[in-house]
Amino acid sequence: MAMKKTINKIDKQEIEKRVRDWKQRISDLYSEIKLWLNGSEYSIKYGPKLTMYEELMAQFKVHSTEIDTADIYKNNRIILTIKPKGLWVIGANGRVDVLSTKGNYMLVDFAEQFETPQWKLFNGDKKNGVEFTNQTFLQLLSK
Amino acid sequence: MNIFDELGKIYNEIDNTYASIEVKHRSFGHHKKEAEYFRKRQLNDQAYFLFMFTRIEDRVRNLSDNLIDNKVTALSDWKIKRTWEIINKQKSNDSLHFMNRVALLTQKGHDDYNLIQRYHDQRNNIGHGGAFTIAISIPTVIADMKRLYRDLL
Repeated sequence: MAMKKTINKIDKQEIEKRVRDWKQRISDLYSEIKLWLNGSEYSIKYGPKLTMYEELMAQFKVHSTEIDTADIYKNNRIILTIKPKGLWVIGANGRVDVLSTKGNYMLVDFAEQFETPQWKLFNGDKKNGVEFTNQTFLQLLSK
Repeated sequence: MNIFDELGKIYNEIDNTYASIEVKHRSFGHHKKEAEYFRKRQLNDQAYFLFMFTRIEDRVRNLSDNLIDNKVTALSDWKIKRTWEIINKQKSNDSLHFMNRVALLTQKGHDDYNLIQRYHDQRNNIGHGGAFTIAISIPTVIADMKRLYRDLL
């Protein structure tokens, strides 16, 4: 689970680049989920945006930005909410909260910076992360 | 079950309960209530992170105290012993900084030292009334704390 060390020069441009990359990864995540849900009883819709303004953004005078949340619907009712929690996480490359009426899950990206995301889904007791796939997501929805 | 698993279990029970209420409020469009439970989950993260970090602090204090005591007792060559006597004095008057204690147990600048330093910075922010400056992933915290607690010598 431990990430390799990636040491990039940190300046305003680097922080902006990482924020753009984070927003893109979140957008890609929603797109992928949308594909998975095609033809199923579930659908995904964007929810209210969250403000993103993390410590390094403030430190390097990078403007705050907005990031999308999303909801999963079944029979026109929200059964799951997806909220990006933070890009800068110790030991990972971002965390997304996945909340349901039956509990809280978490997606953590263990990929190196600017590489293809390696999302892992942590279950209700937040242990034993599993690869986030079509199957694991549909299993989560059917609980 | 060790202390970190035990704390993790209680943390999850609370977090899951709040998360469930947060989603219910969102689905009814009660965004003020949704934000209230979002905030409660944040405070829960902070409280349990602090609780877990105090276990590591105790571990570092105990191990570094033992190391200093052993060195002062066992060493007879003054040229080596003098350094430990100065450290021992700092230990006795409680002026030995936590990260200097960590440096006695792990190599400064290496992975474990840097990891404890990052968590220590977060602990100080919260302890002084601030919030996490980064998102905390509790599964990662528990795994790190368990490993550090076991591996620190």
